[in-house]
Amino acid sequence: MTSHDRRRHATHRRQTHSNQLGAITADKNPKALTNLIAYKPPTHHLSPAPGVRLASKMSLSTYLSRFKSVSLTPTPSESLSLSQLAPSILNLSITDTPEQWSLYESLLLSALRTGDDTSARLILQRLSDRFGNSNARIMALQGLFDEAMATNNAQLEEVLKNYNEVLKDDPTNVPITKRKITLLHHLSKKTEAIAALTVLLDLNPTDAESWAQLAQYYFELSMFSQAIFCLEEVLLILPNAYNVHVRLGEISYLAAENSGGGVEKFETSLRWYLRAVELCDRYLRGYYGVKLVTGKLLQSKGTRTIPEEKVNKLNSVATVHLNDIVTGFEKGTKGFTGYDPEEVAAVKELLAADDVSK
Amino acid sequence: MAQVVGQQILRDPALFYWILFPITIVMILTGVLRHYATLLLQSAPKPLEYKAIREQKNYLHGINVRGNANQIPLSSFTTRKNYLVAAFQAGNFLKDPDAQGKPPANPMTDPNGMDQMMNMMKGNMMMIVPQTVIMGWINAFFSGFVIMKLPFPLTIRFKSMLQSGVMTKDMDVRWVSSLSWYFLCLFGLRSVFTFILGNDNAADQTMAQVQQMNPQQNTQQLFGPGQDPAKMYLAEAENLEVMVQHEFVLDGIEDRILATV
Amino acid sequence: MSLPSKLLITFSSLLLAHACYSAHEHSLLSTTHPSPSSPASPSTSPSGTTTTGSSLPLDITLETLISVSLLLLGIVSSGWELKPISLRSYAGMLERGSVFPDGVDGKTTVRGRGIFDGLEDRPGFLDIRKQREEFAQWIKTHGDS
Repeated sequence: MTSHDRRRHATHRRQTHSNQLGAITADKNPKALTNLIAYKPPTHHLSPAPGVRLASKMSLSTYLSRFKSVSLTPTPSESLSLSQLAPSILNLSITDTPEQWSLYESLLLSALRTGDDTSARLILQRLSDRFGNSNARIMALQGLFDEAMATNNAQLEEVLKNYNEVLKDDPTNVPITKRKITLLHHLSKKTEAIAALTVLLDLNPTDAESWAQLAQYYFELSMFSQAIFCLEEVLLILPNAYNVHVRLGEISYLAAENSGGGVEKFETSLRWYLRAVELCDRYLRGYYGVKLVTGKLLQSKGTRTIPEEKVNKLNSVATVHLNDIVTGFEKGTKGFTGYDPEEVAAVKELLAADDVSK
Repeated sequence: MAQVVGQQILRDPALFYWILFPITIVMILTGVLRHYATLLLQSAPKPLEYKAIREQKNYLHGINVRGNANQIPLSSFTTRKNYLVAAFQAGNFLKDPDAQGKPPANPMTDPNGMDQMMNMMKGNMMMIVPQTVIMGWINAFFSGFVIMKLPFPLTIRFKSMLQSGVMTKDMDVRWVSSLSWYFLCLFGLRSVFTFILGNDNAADQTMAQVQQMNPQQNTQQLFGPGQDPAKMYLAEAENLEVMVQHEFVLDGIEDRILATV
Repeated sequence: MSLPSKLLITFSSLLLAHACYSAHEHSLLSTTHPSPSSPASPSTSPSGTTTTGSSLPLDITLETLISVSLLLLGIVSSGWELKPISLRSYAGMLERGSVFPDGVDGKTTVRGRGIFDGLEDRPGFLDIRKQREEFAQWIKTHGDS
């Protein structure tokens, strides 16, 4: 299968597309300014900055819960506030518990994100002192650090060469393989990244993360059918992953738009969205898609497999839910506060556009 | 009211302090010692080589495709099925395709199997040696002592369990001999070890026994020493091939949603 | 914990304690009554001379059973918040941020975290340079204002 993908890949063409989904899938714009006044360039060396005196009283588990509550692609203000915890966390005595090391790992990432290189170096030092330099995970973190420290492309190529050395000795080192793939992709060697990823998936086709990443790479190259194939593989591993269903809906929608849009293709997209909604109650992204695609279906003509009245009903169901979500979120009702503000804004836009067209 | 006065035996309280407590404490300490000794003796499991990982993971992939086939459209499933069946039958994922058809390697000469055996040996030695020593100690010093009385009545069946080493026919079942106390400690200290040493400790013999029973459960070794991966692949290919029923979960989803939401 | 269940627990605990006390008194009475002058042996406890054959009166047995079942009922109905059983509602609550997965403190965050977010974050393929650039950009645009 993977070699098949590679062959198809040679014929890819790059396309750019503007779409309504962009509002949801685009990177988040940093808006919060709360932490800025307190921000100083990271010059601290293990002495707590005045702004974090309160934080120094927190325990290990409190810190860990703060890190866990933020996604791996945090907004800059989030990563800033996390990175400011570095001095107080590093001042905690080392208890050698799994929690402590997982906290160190997260802290290393946010320190690297915010450019707090002194803390990052110290954290990495402590991690490698504890687990040794030959530990695959530590090697990957070290690689991450080297990547972040590199100032130009020549140095990045050097890091890449290091990865290749390591992989020559031990081809089963999965974390390093993943770093190598990411670095290749970053250096705009997208076909090489995809080729390396297919090799990794040939070694281990039960790794959902790799399949999802491959889907993303294909998606960036607008190779939608390959992306759908990869996401289907994810579903074979994690059949209840509703966000993968939504992603399948989004990609099928874009594929339908791109190919001129047969009704049938939009219906496929609608079904994926519906499945996501079935798996996750009041799922914003799911209902957004349902609303979007049903709107599209009602406008277009052609032979349908889903009767029009059902499409209409689904559209109104989605509208009701989306209205609930928007009002609940704006009022700050309990149980509605966890949505992404930007996704809610996108929903509002969609609802407003719908009102105008009526 | 008919009343039967319980059997009474006059015991020296010193029995309590000099036998019951020492046996218990020695048992606990041996458990802790065994835990740490096992940790010291344990060698890290050898990482699998590239081809072995590939063999195992692709087998799991086949199982996944079969198990969650209903999650993907029929056409996607058929493509995968055809590909996997062909690849499985051709033995594309096997560690060494040439070994197909040959009898499975003798676990005694297989270096991987040897490693496993060695670990098992070490574990067994860690169990047997202290047990023999302590049992000998108890037999030599305390055999035949009656050391305590249970505060609740028991049926006669428990006699052999509670009074081993004491050959008295008419004694009430509630009396416990020293050797029996040793056995009770041996099997009953599990929760104490969990409390002292944490959840998966080496002192815990019951767990060790369970693991010895089925080594295949270990994810590191999906294929047990005696199993032939080639045959398992062929069986999996057949399983995939005979799968005719396919109900795509997305069929009729609009009705389901309209019915529930 | 609601008031009725609290009351129920208190009441049934009292009932259970009473039943225990009654049973104890009864056993004491039946052991000492027939042979009040039997000397207690020095090396054994008084319970060493318990007797078999005398059974508890029906009312004590009933009291025990009823109090235990009431106590169980009280504890079950005392209502700590149960987690939803179906994936659909639990996943929805996680996404909306009305519950949080284990180890996440709801007080320090409001954003919901789904079960399968790892598939979209993909920690193994973290592009650190891109994130660093974004952060530097953000500091530049917002730091001066």
